[in-house]
This record gives sequence, C-alpha cells and structure tokens, in this order.
Amino acid sequence: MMVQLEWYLILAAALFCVGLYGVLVRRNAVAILMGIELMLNAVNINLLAFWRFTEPAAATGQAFAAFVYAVAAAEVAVGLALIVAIYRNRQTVDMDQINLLKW
Amino acid sequence: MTVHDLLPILTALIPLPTFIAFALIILFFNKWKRVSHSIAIGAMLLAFLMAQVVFWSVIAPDGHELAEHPLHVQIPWLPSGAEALEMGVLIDPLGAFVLFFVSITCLCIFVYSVGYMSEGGKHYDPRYSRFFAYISLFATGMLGLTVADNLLMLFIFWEIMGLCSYLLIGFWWEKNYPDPKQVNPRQAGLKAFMTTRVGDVIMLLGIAYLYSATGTLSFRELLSAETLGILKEMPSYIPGLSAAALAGLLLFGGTVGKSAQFPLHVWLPDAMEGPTPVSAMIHAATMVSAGVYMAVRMFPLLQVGFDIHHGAQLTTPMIVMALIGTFSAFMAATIAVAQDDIKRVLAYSTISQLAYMVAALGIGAYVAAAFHLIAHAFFKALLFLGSGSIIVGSHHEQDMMKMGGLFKRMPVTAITFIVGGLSLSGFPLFFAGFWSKDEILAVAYHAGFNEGIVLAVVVYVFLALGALLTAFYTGRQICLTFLGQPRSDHAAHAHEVSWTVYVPLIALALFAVFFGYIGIPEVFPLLGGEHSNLFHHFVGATLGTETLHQLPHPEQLDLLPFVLSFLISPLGLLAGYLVYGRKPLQAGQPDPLVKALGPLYPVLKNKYYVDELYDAVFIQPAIKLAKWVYKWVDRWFIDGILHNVARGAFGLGHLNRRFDLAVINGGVDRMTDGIKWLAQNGRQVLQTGQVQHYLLQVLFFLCGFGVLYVWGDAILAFIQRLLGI
Amino acid sequence: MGTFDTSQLLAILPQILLVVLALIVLAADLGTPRGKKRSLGIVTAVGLLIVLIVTLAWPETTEPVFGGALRVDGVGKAFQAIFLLSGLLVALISMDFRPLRQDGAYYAMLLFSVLGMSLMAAAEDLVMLYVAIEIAGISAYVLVGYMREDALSAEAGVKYLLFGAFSSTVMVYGLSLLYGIAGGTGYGRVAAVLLQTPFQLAMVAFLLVLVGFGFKVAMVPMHFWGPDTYQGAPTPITAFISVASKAAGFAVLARALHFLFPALNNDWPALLVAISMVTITLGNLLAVPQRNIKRMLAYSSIAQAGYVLIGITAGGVAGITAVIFYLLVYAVTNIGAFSIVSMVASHIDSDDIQDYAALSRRSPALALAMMVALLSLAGVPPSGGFVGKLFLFAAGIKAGLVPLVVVAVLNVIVALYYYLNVVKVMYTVRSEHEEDAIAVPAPSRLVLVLSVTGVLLLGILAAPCYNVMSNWVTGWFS
Repeated sequence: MMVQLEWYLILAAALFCVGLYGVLVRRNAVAILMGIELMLNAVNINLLAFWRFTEPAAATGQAFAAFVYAVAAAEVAVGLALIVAIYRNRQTVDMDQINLLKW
Repeated sequence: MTVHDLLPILTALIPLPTFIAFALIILFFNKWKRVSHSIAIGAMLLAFLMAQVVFWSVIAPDGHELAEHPLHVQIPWLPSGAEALEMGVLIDPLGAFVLFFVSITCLCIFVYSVGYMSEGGKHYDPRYSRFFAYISLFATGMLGLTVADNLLMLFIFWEIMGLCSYLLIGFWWEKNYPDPKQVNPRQAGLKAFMTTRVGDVIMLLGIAYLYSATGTLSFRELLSAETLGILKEMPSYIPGLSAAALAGLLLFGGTVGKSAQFPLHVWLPDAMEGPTPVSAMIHAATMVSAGVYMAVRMFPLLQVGFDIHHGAQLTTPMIVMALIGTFSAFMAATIAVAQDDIKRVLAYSTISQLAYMVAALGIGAYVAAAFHLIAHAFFKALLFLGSGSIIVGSHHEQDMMKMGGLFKRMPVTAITFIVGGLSLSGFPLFFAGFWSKDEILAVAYHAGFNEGIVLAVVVYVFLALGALLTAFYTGRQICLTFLGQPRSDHAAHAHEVSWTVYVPLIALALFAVFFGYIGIPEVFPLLGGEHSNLFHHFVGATLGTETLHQLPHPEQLDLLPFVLSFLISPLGLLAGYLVYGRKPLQAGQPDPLVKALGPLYPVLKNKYYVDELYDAVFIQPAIKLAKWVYKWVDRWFIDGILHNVARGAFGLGHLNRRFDLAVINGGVDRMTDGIKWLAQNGRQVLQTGQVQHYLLQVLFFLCGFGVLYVWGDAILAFIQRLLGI
Repeated sequence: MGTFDTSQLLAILPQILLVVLALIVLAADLGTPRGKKRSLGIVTAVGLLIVLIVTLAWPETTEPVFGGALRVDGVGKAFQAIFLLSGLLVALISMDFRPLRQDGAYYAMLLFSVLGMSLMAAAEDLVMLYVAIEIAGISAYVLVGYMREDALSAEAGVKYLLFGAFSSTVMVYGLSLLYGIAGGTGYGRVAAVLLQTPFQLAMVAFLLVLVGFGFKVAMVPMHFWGPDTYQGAPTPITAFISVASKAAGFAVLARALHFLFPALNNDWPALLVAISMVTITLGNLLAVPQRNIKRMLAYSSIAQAGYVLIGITAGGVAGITAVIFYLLVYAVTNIGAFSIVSMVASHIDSDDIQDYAALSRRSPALALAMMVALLSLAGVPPSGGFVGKLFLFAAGIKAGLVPLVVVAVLNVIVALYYYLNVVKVMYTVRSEHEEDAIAVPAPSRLVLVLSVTGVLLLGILAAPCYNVMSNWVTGWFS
C-alpha cells in the first residue's frame, strides 16, 4: 500500500512549523538560519510529493527541488559570512543584542 | 519635412534660449558679470533671430492665408482621463507682428542694459548678473506669452512676467528716501505685485469660468464660431449677461491690472523705482502691452453679439472697455502735464496711450488697437531708453526742473528722444504715432458721427482732447529737458554714456518713424492707395471669422477728423513751446503752470489723490482690521483664554505640588516613570530593532489575513448576532 | 520540452550580456592595481548603458520564450530598463562613496542583482520566479553587508538576510502549493487550473506568495526590514534596494496578479487596498520623527510603495502605466537624493539631518538638487513626482478606489512636512562649517545632472513618456 499524498503534506506542514518555531524563538543567528533550512526542507517534501502524485513523467518538481537546494546553500553561505562579520564586530551572535538599528 | 513644418517647432523654441540663460546665470555664472551679460545677450539674439525668421517667413500682403492656417503645433501635456491637456504654440498674423516687436524691443533692452547697469562700463552694479538673469526670465515670459496657443499657457507666462516685474521694481531694495511719503523700491515692487494681482485673480476666474463653460482653453477652439455661438446663448450667473459677456468682463480684469488702466493704474508710476529706464521700459513699453494683447486676442469673445449691420448695441464688455479706456486716457494725460520727474511723465503717458487702445477695442476697432499697440511699443521704448540715457548722462538727475540745455551735451539722445516725442504726440505724416493714433480717432469719429453710436462720440471727443494734452506735455518735456540753459551742475556736466546705450536708441528711432508707413489708410489723400494699409490687410485677417463684426472701415475720408489730426499735435506742441521753450526757465523758477492752473495744479500734481483715496479706503482699514483682530481676537480672546488656563493650571500645580509633597511623593514619581516607560515602548513597539519581532509580526498579520479570508463571513455574522443586528 | 533552439538563447541576450559583463568586471579586477579599482565603476556603468540600449532595442516577444520560463513583453522591458538605469546610476555614485572599499566583487554583485531583477520582470514560471528572486536577493544581502568592518552595515546585512530568507521561504512554500494544485509551473497552466476549479487553498498560497513579493516591495507588514537595512547599508546600495529592488517587487506582483491569479480577481483587491492605506499612512507617520536622513528616506520609500500599490490595485492599462511611470520617476528622484546623502556622508561622516544645516551655503548645487528631489518625492509640480502621483490617483479613481485615493492625498500633505523640514534645514539653519564646500566628483555630478533633468523633464514632458509606456502596457490587455 502506498502512503497517501495527504500524509506527505501534513509532514511537510509540520516540519515547516517546526522550522518556523525555531526561526522565531532561537536567539542564536546560526540557529535561526537552521530553522529556515528546515522550512526549506518542508518545501522540498511538498514539491517531491506533488511531483510523485501529480505528474511523475515530467521532472519539473524534481528540478524545482534541486533549485531550492542550491538556493538554500547559497543563502546559508552568505548568511554565515554575515554572521561571522557581525561576530567580529560585536563578539556576539545573539539576535536579541543585535539591535543598534531600530525605531 | 518641409520648411513649413519646421517653422512651428522653431516657434516653440523661441522662449527657450532666454530661459536657459536665466538658469545658467542664476546657477553658475553669478560671479562673472561680463560672462553673464554675454550669455543673456547671446540668448536674446538667438531668440531674436528665430523670431525674425518666423516673422519674415509668414508675412504676406494678405493675412487670410495665415489666419486660416496659422503656424500651430501642440503636444498633449498632461493626460487626464481620455482628454489630454494640450500645450502648444500658435502664430497667426497678430501673433507674428507682436513677436516682431517684442523680439526687437527685448533685444534693445538687453543691449542697452549693458551700458545702463554698468554706467557705460565704469561702475558695475553689485547685482549686475542677477539683473541679466531677471530680464532673461522676463523675455522668456513675454516671448512665451506671445506664442502661447491657449489661455492657460498665456496665464502662466503672464505670471512669470508679474514675478519678474516684482523682482525688477524692487531690484534696489536697500534704497530708502528721507521723505517717508516717497515710495521706495521695496514698497513699489510690492504695490505693483499686489495691484496687478487683483487683476490677475479676476482674470483667473474668467479662465476658470471659460473652461467650465466650454471645456477648452485653446484660442482656436475657444474663438471658433460655434463655441462663441454657444457662449452667446448661454446665460451666466448674473441676470442679463451672457456667459460670453461675463467671461469677457472677467478676462478684461486682467488687462486692467496688467495694462494699468483705471482703477488699477496706481502701480505703474511707482514702478519707475526699478533700475531706472530698463525696468521702467519693461513695465511701460513691453509688459503692459501684454494686457492689451490679451484683450485683442480675445476680442471675438468680447464682441460676441455686436453686429453693426443689424443695429445691435455695443456689448457690455465693449461698453466697459470704452468707458474705462476713455477715462484713463484723459485722466492720465492731465496728470502727466503736472509731473516733474522725467520718467513719471512717461509712465502716465503710457497709461494714457494704452487707454487709447482699450478705448479703440471698446468701439470695435481692434486692428487700430493692435496697430497703435505696436507703434506705441516702439516709440515709448525709445522714450524710456532716452530718458534713461539722460538720467545716467546727467548723473542720476530725474527732475526735469533741474535739467535743460542737454541738446548740445547729448545730441544723439536728444535727437532720438525728440523723434520719439513727436511720434508720441502724433506729429503728422512723418511719425508712426500719427498713423496709429489717427486710425483710432478716424474710426471713433466714423462710429460716432456716421454710424450714430453715442458712446463713440464721447470716445472721440475725449481722445482728441487727450491727444492735445499729449502733445502739450511732450512739448513741455522736450523744452524743459533739452532747451535753454542747464539748471543744475549735474545737467551742466552731462555727456553721452556709451555706444551700448545709444545704438538701441537709434534702432528704435527708425522704427518710431517708419513703422507707421505700413498702416496708411486707403482713403488717405495722395499717400493712400489700394494696398497702402498693409497692416490692416494682414492683421485684420486674424480675427476675421464670420462671427466678427468689426466696424466697417471709413470708406471715404471724413474731413473734420482729418483736419483735426493735422492740427492737434502741432497745436499742442506749439503750446508747450510757447510756455516752456520761448523763454526757457531759469534755475529755481517755478513752473508757469502752477499759476496758470491755479487750484487745479495740486490736484493734478497729486494724481487726483487716488493713492490717498486707496490708502484711506483699502489700506488703512485693512491695517486697522488686522490690528483690531490682533488686539482683540488674538491678544484678548485667544491669549486671554490661554493665559487664564495657564494661570489655572499653575494654581492647580501649586496645589498639586503641596499635595504631592505631603502625600504621595514617591507614588507619583513611580507613575510618571511608568508612563514614560509605556510611551517609549509603545512608540517603539513596532520597530524594535530585533528581527525576530519583525518576523513574528509578519506571521501574526499573515494568520490574521488567512483567518479573515477563510472565516471572515462567519466572523461577521457572529458579531452581528452578538450585537443583535 | 522542445529541441534546443538558438533563438531561445537570443531572446535572453541582454541577460547573457549582464553575466558576461559581470565576468569582465571580475576579470578586470584581477588586473587592476589596488588604488585604481574605482575605475571598475566606469566599466560597470558603460556596460550597463550598452545592455540598456540592447534591451530597449531588442524585439518584444508576446509568447513565452526560453522553455516557457520568460516573456519579454513591453512591461517586462520597461521594468528592465528601470533596473538597468538604477544599476548604472548606483555604480556611478558607488565610485566615490568613501567608506566603501572598491573592488570587482562589489560591482559584480551589483550586476548579478540587476540580472536577477531583469529575470524577475519577465518570469512566467514558478521556478524561474523563485530563482530570479533569489539571484536578486542574495546578491543584495551581500551588498548590504559589504562594509564588513562597520557594525551597522553587518547588522543591516544579517537582518536583511534573515528577513529575506524567511519571506522567500514562506513564498516558495506557497509556490509549492500552487505547483501541487496545477501539476505544472507555468503561469498560464496554473492560472487555467485555478480558473477551472476554485480551490480554497489558492488564496492561502496567494497570501504566502504575497509575503515574498511584499518583502521586495517593503509594504506593510513586510516593511520592517526597510528602515534598519536602509540605515545600515552603504548609501549607494540603500539607493539601489530602495529603487530597483522595490520596482522588481512591483514587476513580479503586477505580472502575478495579471497572469497567475486571475482566478482571485474578486479577492485580492480589498486586501491590497487595506495594505496600501496602512502602508502609506504608517510610512509617512513614522518618517516624521526621524533624525537620520537615510532612515527618514526609508520610511518615505515605504510610503511611496503604498502609492504605487494604488496603481497595482487599480490595474488596467492606466494603472500599470501609472505604476511604471511612477517607478521611473521614483528611480531618478530617489537615486538623486541618495547620491547627495552619499556625497555628504563621504565628506562629513554623518547622516543626521541636523548636519545638513546651511548646505545651501556650503554647496548650493547640492542643496538645489536635493530640494528638487525632495519636492518631487513630495509631489510638488512641476516635478515628475507630481505628475506620477497624478497618474496613480487618476487610475485609482477610475477604478473606483476613491477612499484609498483620499487617504493617499491626505498623506501627501503629511509627507510635505518632513520633506520640507530637510529643505528648511538646508536653506535656513546656519552652521559653522559654511566655508567647507562638499566635493562633488565627476561621476556623481553626472548622476545629479541626470537626476535633476530627469525629474523636471518627466514632469514637464510627461505625456510623450506616458504614451510610450502606455503602448508597452497595452500588450497585456489586448
């Protein structure tokens, strides 16, 4: 018996929420980035599940997922670079303290 | 593209060079005086050449061709809905001639300014560059106004000129006079601005009214037969006036202000406070023509309903124009008789001559008005520049009583000035002023005595009397200035200024003589012929639509006005000579007129006390009202309330303080801290600087939107049930 | 998938040229000695000018090209021109922004960002859309945090990245749902499926996608990053993201509303009207108490985005044309304003409005240009900003959005206050540094001249530009 599409979608939604929770409550900038990665993984589960269940003949969903991976990697690279820069300046990666710019 | 397609584009570019010159001088070249005047003159020369190319390309013996197919180009300027507001340029026979004289006079002013503002290169004015920037902007305004093809554009350039005139009259703003009653440049600028503004507001009302009535402001559409027909039938807010008449009256308000007609004429004599001859000439010879130009341009609207062939009466706007024109012409001429300041005489003479044109329009003679407009611009410009030359040459002496004997010391100025004066007084045959003034008088006589329009009789009589006075004060001016012996040191050491000053004089003198020959009436003995009245054939075609019923031109010579025209000017000049020239005044000797006129003299000298009247009726009450409002409404009422509230609060504070000290010192402190904390955090609750707060808010809104979308209707229904609706 | 066809490549020649240009800049960087890297800005600007000309000259395509991923139609071209022009001007002002270290990577990143945006303007496929947004976005994150040693720049970069990554992730989740619904990623296919069978999920997906677009546009509630990022970023980059990035957001929003979500035509206008009202009001109100000019301009740009939303919501030829016209005016105006901020900051190391005191005496030309820019932002005639607002409001009224336009007009008055405040400081407040003139390097001078003449010309000769743009837009509606 095959697992139904709905289950995949629910899994993805749950994963998305877990990632979202991480983004919102973790203070460490690196952890926030990890939360975003989790959300992107949820997107990929969605894409692949949809591909499998709607039109497995075309590779669109797979290609989309591949692009999402690539983008995620790029984002993380730039993100980490910026976090390193801020750590050099401020000796912290705690996003609660990174609030020179406000109001 | 043929040459004829390029001409409209060339026309559109005419106002541009001077505007660029203005920007360049103001922004970059303020510090370099010679560079500034070179830029300004170069730009004006370019504009002049473009204007002349346009003029000579369109000029023809018969204007009907151009009138029906004028140079016209327009671009959509502001798309507003389906219709676009269009801006464009239009050159018809009238516009061509106005462009012709405007470009010439403006170029003369520019060249002349070099000599005048630097006193022949010896002493540069501290704000020399700025002066050239202003007159460049002024030229932009005048040229733009001439080529405008719609009322809105005309009004924009009209206001640009108003601004320049304000800036130029007050150009020497730091100047003060010991006599507090004498108007200083600052006040004069303000006075000119405010007075003309009264006219402008009325004119703007007219424009708005026309737009709401017809939906267009383009001259061609506005003055087309069908639009005029609609306006003629349309009732206005005022019973008994058609929409055309009301709009015409309102627009004429602008003319009254700009062309200094009674009762808004008071600004012009004071405008002579500007850098003496140059801005005076701008105000008196060029800019004021704009008012009359607009009236000529809109003449088909002003005369809607007037049909001489079917016995209709003059229209309301025409009656108003005839009355105001006649009155101003005569009144200003009488005042001019008793002025001693060389420029003020010319200023009043300008009011008077402009009034001739207005009166001519009032009895339907618009070609004569246009002809006199241009002729007047030439000889009046000449006279003003001449007076400027005299003033600089005689070391800033403006009082004619202290001049005399300048003929020998400033021969070029003297000869050109006398040419201008003879032209102004309408000396027969040889001078432009004769032909143009003669045409107005001839038409007025014809309308009054042959066609039986009573008003025209009045117009004729007073204009003829005015002409006599004109000749008299011109004779007086010439005799006082040039004949006899110098009556002051300044006059004794007078000399010609420089070539930049007298070359424009000579150029203008040529026009003041020869311009008249293109408008010799057909019926004139010997000189007249079938094609002698070129101006009439050309310009007369401009407005010659089927709707325009101008007075038929006299078909045969009327003997009486013909003879009178020949006599009036020499008689007046002779009178002037007899009083002032035969036995030249000696230094310190009073004006013989004082005795001759008796009690009338102070009245004339004080310009019929109109300024004093306005002061008493408008200005003082306004100041009193302002003071009253300040004292009672502001100080007593509003401040009183505030003071009492403050006093109450103060008392309360005292009470509070005692209470505070005694009872809850610590508690209150803590409360204010709390409020401060709340205010700070409340104000800053949105933009905390913490990125996760931002994200949370996004999420919150997102969920809110989602909930509203999915359950929005249910929520609404629930709330309605809860409220029992 | 058809066979490979070179005409498909030719269709994206301008984009290919951008990549080539970026590579040239990177290569030139290697051969340029350390002190001379400033000249790379010239290379970038000239290159962008060439690409701009090619883009405008390239034929429009009415059918999707490049495997159905792009449609380079009139609207797309108009937006691409705006991005390229912004990139050009920003490259010029970057050359003399002192706090920034000059190197090839900076200009290359700028070019990549422009590349991403120009793909965004033409994207007609979900995958293409996502990739284009990320190309534009990630390069912009790098640019914002480019002054690594500066705590503010680094902070702005991190915040911009986290906010951007978050919202684009939310968006791509929405895109994945759309893919699932339609079983394909082309706009046409998704729209057709949605029109056939209405899904509740479609609106959820729309909201998720709107988060991503709203982030680019900086509309409430996705505006929070704006002020912080604008203030911290290198000033030329602030100009770039406030203009180009915003315009790119509007490009994808307009196209998505028209080609992707026609099924929701009854649902989104109310939402956008509400967002537009709040965006205009919030932006203007919060701009009033600002003391830092970059931050003030940031809030002002949020408000400007709100005005543009009126045109987006109104739709139709009039609405979209007004959007393009306004964005062009806004690009010229805002880059002009920021170029002055950049020059002043290079000279006196301050962005405080107080320090603009007596600018009219220090550098009259700068003060004048700033005044023109501010008055155009405020919408005073005869500037382009005035005409642009007029078009937007007219389109709004024609579409029946009268309350929205009333709110916008009231806000224009509020806005006048804080713009004129800067003018007042520049012209009336005296300062002890009046003798110290601010240097205006040649490239910046060029930008200033272009900006001022552009603002005035677009205001005075609005109709011809409007007509050209309107012709481009009609392709969407015929």
